[in-house]
This record gives sequence, C-alpha cells and structure tokens, in this order.
Amino acid sequence: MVVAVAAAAALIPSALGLVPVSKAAVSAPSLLRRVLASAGVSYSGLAESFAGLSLPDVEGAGRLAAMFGEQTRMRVWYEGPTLWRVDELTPIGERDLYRDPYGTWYWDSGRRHATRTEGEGTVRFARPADLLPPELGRRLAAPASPAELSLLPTERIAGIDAAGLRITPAGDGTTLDHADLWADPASGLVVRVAITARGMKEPIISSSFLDLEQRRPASSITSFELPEDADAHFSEAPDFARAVDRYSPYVLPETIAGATKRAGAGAAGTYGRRFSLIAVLVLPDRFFPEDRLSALPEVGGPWDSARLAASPLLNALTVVDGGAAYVLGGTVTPDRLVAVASKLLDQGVAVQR
Amino acid sequence: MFAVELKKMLLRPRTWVIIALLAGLPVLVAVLLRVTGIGPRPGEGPAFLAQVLGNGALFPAAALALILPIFLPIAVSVVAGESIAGENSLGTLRYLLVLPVGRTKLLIAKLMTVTVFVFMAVFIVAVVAYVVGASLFGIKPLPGVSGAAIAAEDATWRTVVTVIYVAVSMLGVAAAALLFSTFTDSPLAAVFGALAVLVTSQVLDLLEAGRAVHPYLLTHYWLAFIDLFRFPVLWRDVVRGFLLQGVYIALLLGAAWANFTTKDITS
Amino acid sequence: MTSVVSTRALTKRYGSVAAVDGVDLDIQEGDLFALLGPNGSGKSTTFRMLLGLVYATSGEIQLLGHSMPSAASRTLPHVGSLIEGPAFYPHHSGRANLTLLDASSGNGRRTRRARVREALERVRLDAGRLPYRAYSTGMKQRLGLAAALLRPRRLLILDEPTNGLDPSGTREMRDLLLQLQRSGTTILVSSHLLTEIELICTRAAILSEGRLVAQSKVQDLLSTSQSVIVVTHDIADAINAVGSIPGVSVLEQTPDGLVLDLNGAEASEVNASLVSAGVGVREFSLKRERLEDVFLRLTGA
Ligand SMILES: Nc1ncnc2c1ncn2[C@@H]1O[C@H](COP(=O)(O)OP(=O)(O)OP(=O)(O)O)[C@@H](O)[C@H]1O
Ligand SMILES: [Mg+2]
Repeated sequence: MVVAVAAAAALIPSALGLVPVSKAAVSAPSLLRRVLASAGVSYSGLAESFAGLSLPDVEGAGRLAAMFGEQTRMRVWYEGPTLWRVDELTPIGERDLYRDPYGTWYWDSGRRHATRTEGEGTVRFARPADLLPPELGRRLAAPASPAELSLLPTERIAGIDAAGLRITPAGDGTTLDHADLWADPASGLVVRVAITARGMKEPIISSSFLDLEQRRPASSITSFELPEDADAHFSEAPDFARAVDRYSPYVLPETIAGATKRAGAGAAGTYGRRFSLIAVLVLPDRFFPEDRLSALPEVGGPWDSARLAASPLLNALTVVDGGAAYVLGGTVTPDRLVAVASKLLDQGVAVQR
Repeated sequence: MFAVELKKMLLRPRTWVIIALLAGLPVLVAVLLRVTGIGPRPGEGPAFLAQVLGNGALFPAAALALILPIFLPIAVSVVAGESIAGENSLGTLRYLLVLPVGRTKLLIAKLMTVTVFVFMAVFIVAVVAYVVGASLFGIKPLPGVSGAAIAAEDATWRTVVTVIYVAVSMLGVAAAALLFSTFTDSPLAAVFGALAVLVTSQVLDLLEAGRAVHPYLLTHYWLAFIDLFRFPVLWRDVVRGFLLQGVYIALLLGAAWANFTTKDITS
Repeated sequence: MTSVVSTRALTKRYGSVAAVDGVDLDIQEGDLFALLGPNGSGKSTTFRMLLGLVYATSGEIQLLGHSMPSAASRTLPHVGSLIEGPAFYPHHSGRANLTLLDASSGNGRRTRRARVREALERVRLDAGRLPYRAYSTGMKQRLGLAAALLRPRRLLILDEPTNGLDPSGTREMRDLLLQLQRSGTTILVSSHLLTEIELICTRAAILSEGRLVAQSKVQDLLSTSQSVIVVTHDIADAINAVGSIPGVSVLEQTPDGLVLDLNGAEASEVNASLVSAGVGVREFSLKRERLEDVFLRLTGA
C-alpha cells in the first residue's frame, strides 16, 4: 500500500521532468562570460539552498551557523543590483531583506520588527541572499580562468534547460574542490549551484531555483512599506571593518605571506586571490571572548595560544599573542591558515595613536 | 443514503461534543492570553499566536494552526475510523447491506459525511475564534506575514481559502481512517491505525534524513496555509498540498473500496 | 410452484474448515421452511450467503429467480431478514431506528410514518421514546422482526427469531409466521425450538457439520418413524410371536409391554401374528416419533 502510494506520488514530479532537454550549444568560456554579465538580468522565483558546513556551534554565532547548517527557502524578486527583495521563509513566518539604491529594510515577521539601514558596508557578514544561485554563481565564476572550466550535461531546472559548467580551481591552497553551475544559456542567469569541498563526494553547499521567472518584478513587491503595527529601527551601515577599527588600535600590513589586501581598513581586511580568500582581523585581546571558544581544539605554534575551527570548506583560526587577538578565516586549508598566521606574527602589526 | 448518513452524524451527540472540544481549545488559549497578557515569544510557538494579543483578526488563523497538527486529525480519525467499523461492531452494518444499500454507495456516503464533518468543524472553529478574537483582543486590519496589512476583501478570501485548505488537508487522514475502518470490527483499532499513519508522517517530516520522502508525506504541506498570508501569496505549497491530498484520497479510498466490496460481513 | 431459494453445491470455507459444504437447498413459494442443525452446523453462514453478506467459496445461489450476490439490488428489497439477532443504534428509540432504516432503503417518504407504525403494531411493540439500549431481549427481538416487516416481502429469512422470547411471545411469533405464510410470504426460518417448528413448518432441512443430511416435508421426515408400541401382559409370548417375522426386532422392553422396530415390515402383519398367537394385546399403536428424535438421529448427537 505504502509502496503504491510512494510510487504513484513519485510519478507526478518525474512526469513533469520528462520534458526532453535540449543540448547546450554554448562553449564553456562564453557561458562563463554570460554568467559574469548577468547581474542586470531581472528575475523572480523561489529558491532552496542547503549548506552542510556544520560550523562549530560557537555561542553568539547562532544565525550564521544556522544559515550554513540547514535548508533555507528564499523567495526573491530582483530587478537589478540595487533593487531587489529576498524573503527567507520559515515555517511560521519570514525574514525579508529589501534593497533599494540607498540602503536596506530588514523585516522580521515574528517580532514585527523593521530595521532601516542606510548604505552598505564594504565588509559585511554573509546573509541568506548570498546563497541565491545567481549571487553565489557570479561570486564563484569571477575568479575562474578558462583552463579551469569544463562543460556539464544540460539539466532542466525550474523550467529552464540550463547549461552546466564545472569550475575546478587549479590548486593554490583552497579547500574548494569544484563548483558546478547551471545557467540559462540565453541570459546567463545561474539557476543552480553545487559546491564540493576537497575530499568530499557530495556537494557541501547547493542552491537551486524551484520556480523562476525572468521578468521585471512589480515595484509594489520590491518596495517596503512600513506596517502600522511594526517596530521600526534605524541604523548605520554595519561596516564590519570599520566597526572593528573603532575598538582596535592595530593596522594590518598590505601583504601577508604573499597575499595582498583586497578590502578593509586598519584592523580588518581580506587577503588572497581567486578561490583562496582569508579574512583577518586583529583586536586587543580584552575584547576577544576567548572563553567561549574552549570547545575548539588548540593549535601549537609561535604564540601564546591558538584554536582552530575546522570544516570541510571554511576554516578559522584564532590566535592570542602579546595582548592582541587575531582571527583568520577563509576557504583555505588549516595549514595555510597556520602559515599565514605565523607570518603575520612575524611581520607584526602596526599600532595607531 | 448520504442524507441519512448525514442525519445520523448530525443527530449524534458525540459529533457536537467533538466540535465543542475543538472550538474549546482555542477559546481556552485566548482567555489565558487575555488574562495573563503573556503571548509566546515572537517568532516562536504556534503560527500567528504571538501577534494575536494585539489583533484578534488573526485569531481564526491562529486557532486553526493550534488544532491542525494533533487535535483536529485525532477528531477526524475518530469520526472516520468509526464509520464502517462502528456499524460493523454494532451489527447494524449487515442490516444496512441487506436493505440493500450497495457497499460502494455506503462507503461514498460515509466519506461524504466525514467530509461534511471536517468542513463543519473547521468552519465552526474559525467562526468561534473570530468572535472570541474580536471580543477579547479587538479587530484591526489583518497584518500580513510580509509586513503590510491585508485589505479587508483580501483578508476574507484568504481566510476562506485557509478554511478550505485546512479542511482538505484532513481528508487524507479521513481516507486512511476509513480504509482501516473497513479492515477491522473495532473502531478503536481503525482510529489507532490512522493515528499511526499521522504520527509516522510527522516524525519522518522532522527527520533531516527523510528529506527525499518529505514531499510525499501526508502531513508535509499542512502548515502551508501560512503562505496564504504572505504578500504576494505563495501558491506553490498550497497547490501541492491540495494535489497530494487528492492523490492520497484516491489511493486510500481505492484500497478501502477494494477491501470493503470483497469482504465477508460476519459480525 | 416456483422456486424462491435454490442453491447448488453451495460451499463456504474458512481456511481449511468448511462451514457449509455442498448444500443444495430448494425452497418453494409458500413454504414455511425450517433450516435445522446443531450449533455451528452452518445455518447462519448459509443465510448470510443467501443475503450477499458472505461470499460463497463455490456453488450457486438463486434467490427469487435471480443469481446472488450479483442481483442483490434487485432481489433484496423483497427479502426481509433477521440475522443472528437484531442490531440497532443504541441511543435511538425503536421508532427512530426504523425510520432511519426506512429512509436508508429509499422507501417513499410520505408513507414512512405509517409504515413504521404498522410494523411496530404488527410485532406488538410499544416502547415510546425509550432508547434501544434500554430494551429487554424480547423487545429487541420484536424490533428486529418489525424491521424485517417494514415493507411487503416475498421472502423472510429469519435466523432464530424466537431467541429470547417468553412463552407468550413465542406463541405470538408462531401465529405471526402462520399469518404471514397464509398471506403468501415464503418463510425460511432457523430455530432450536423443534416443537415450534414441528407445529408450523411445512418443510425442513437438517444441516450437520455443513452438510445437508435431510430435506423434505416435515410429515415425511416424521413418517420415516419405524416403531410400534405393544401394551400387553404376555410379554414372553409376544416376543416369540414377532420373532418369526423377518426384520422385526425388540427395541425396548417395559413392565407393561414392548417397543418394536418394524424395519420394513407392515404394522398390520405384526398385529395379525400377535393376535393369531393368542397374545392379549391391550393396546397397539404406531410410535409417533418427534422431530427432536429425527434431528438427534440424523445429526448423530
Ligand atoms: N468468520 C468466521 N471465521 C471462521 N469460522 C467461522 C466464521 N463464521 C463461522 N465460522 C464457522 O463456521 C461454522 C458454522 O457457523 P454458523 O454460524 O453458520 O453456525 P450455525 O449453524 O448458525 O450455529 P448456531 O446454531 O450456533 O447459530 C462454525 O464451525 C463456525 O465456527
Ligand atoms: Mg447461527
């Protein structure tokens, strides 16, 4: 009985999938170009992402850990880079982010709480919208070189015959084994992404559209209207680097171990290139909540103490030495992190004021 | 035949006791909220309940969300599980069949009666909840999940679709209970069978490991009616919920029919 | 005469047990037919098969000229039945129960009230608004019969209708059945009250362990009786006198006479030889066998 039910029910979705898929007539480099040029393509749809990063559960990092540790459902209406809305759906509510040219509105339906933020910081925390296939896809495509590309079979995704592209980074210490993208060959819009970490068989992050329409969304949908019964708050752009800078007198060097600084200011910045990116920040150790990390394993080296938070794709190292606390994290192997940290301590950081 | 079955159901005191209990739970919750003024923490607890304190217009939806996972399916299982097995254990089944009432006809009449019961129960709970919500918390424009208030005429159809959706969601359970009801002489066993299906489905739905079967679970789309209160409405899961219930009803009823029409009545 | 019920090699197996085994029943219009048999001999199972409640393992059933169970919708409206006791909704009164039944059978709505009243009067049941669960066994049985009589029937199938009735109720039942038979209803009844059956039934069949062991007119069943009672003081002479007749044997010897098994010999021949032997016969009579005796003999109990 149950088997019959399952079989019959299984037929429904697969019957929809029986529509024949046409062969992609596009080369890998030109598909990559189209993906990179797709930021202006308007669309709306429903996407589901799954991330199995299993970040260590550090106190206070709940939201971030959740985002990278479970399934997230998102509805998106995207007109262009500075006009969009992404709803993160929960079983009994939603958390929405509305972007307009001047800033963002964040809406939490459970608390009926709206937050307006003017502008956008240069270094910010990851947010669910970053996991949308087009966003994630462009981010992965940007550093790829033609030699790292290969074509994958076309797949039917959310009603689109999407051309597949695999990016296999030529080894430079990254934890990324390969990233697969499927994109609409006409518009370049990425409709599915699957990221596989080194040494793993199954993708560790995947994100895919369930429904998709490539059309300009109505402005009544993308503009936020503050509900009468809501609490409203206003805040400045949460530029993470600047926030750290305020508490930290240190200044990071322009290059560490051959990796150049890409963004950031003073005490916080990102280093590296292509698929091996490292975020670094340095604080006076009294601002650093080391006691919360006691569950993490210690790492030996030329420092007072250090702890490593390891996961297949993302690794983070915290080092306390000489009154300063260093946090390094990124898509690189633990060995590379340890090497960069040693080098940084070697070079030393400048002190302002 | 359907008219007689309906009359039997409506004349039974039990029917009304069950509906009173179903409506009673939300009323109790509303009174407690009102007296203590303590709602669930925002974003936690049953859907919509956190906001009910400020606006009684949400209470019908909150009340349905309260009874949907457990209370309502149990009530439906009791009524549907009893339908054939109850007649069988009383012995009245044999006298109905020799009247004669065709077995297929009887089965359909029973399912239709249960359907009426479900719609009646959900409707009454919604109406009672509206009245209670209005008198205890006052009515303001319905706040949408996505922020902006829902216009009055919009609110009406969304609530109506919600009532229909919740009722239809129960029909799969009803069909399961009816199927078990044709297998046993004991109404209790039939109810237990349906509840076993229900609990299994809900447990699997919670398991990350069961992700592949989630879209096929009887209970998977039950809470999708919340999508009706988003702006714009997210139809995907609601439509799937309707279709899935349709598939379950067809299969379970087909099995019930195949069993019942070939079975010896020896009670 | 037309056949109202006829079965051919009717068989019902539950697993390896044959509850009914190759039964050929033949019931004619106007019969008041008794289906007899010890507990568990298959009577109720046979009735259930006739009514389409239980499906036969093999064999055929013709009910009112149609094949069952396929023609159930055509034949069953003409058949009233009481199957292993009555069954009604306990929280409704008898009247409400009959009204529900009448409505379920799709009978005309306007005359419903009258029909229900008549049926209740017929079985002399007047319990007002008392719910069925408060009925006594006899009242329940009467209500069951009233349900069977809700509309004019060509055939009544009654499984132990006298179950739980008091003596006057049993007599009323007897009169009612006779009255129904006179008005042209064919009746198939099972009962363990053999005296009652003997009094009213025209034909009977006896089941034993699912098999039919007899089926004929009640008189014929009884007239297979084969013994005579001789009342005399000259017992020894009498034994001598009948000893010469081939087949005849002494079944029983009492202080004032003998019971003889005729075994095919003519009673008159026995009488003549007794007289010619000068035995002083004070009384000579055929022993009347009771249905009970036939039943016990045939079912081997
Ligand atoms: N559902 C069943 N499953 C298995 N065996 C059954 C079933 N129903 C009846 N039987 C068996 O079939 C046989 C005939 O039963 P049935 O009820 O027909 O007897 P009956 O002649 O009506 O007896 P009684 O005089 O006691 O009413 C019995 O041996 C009984 O055990
Ligand atoms: Mg019996």
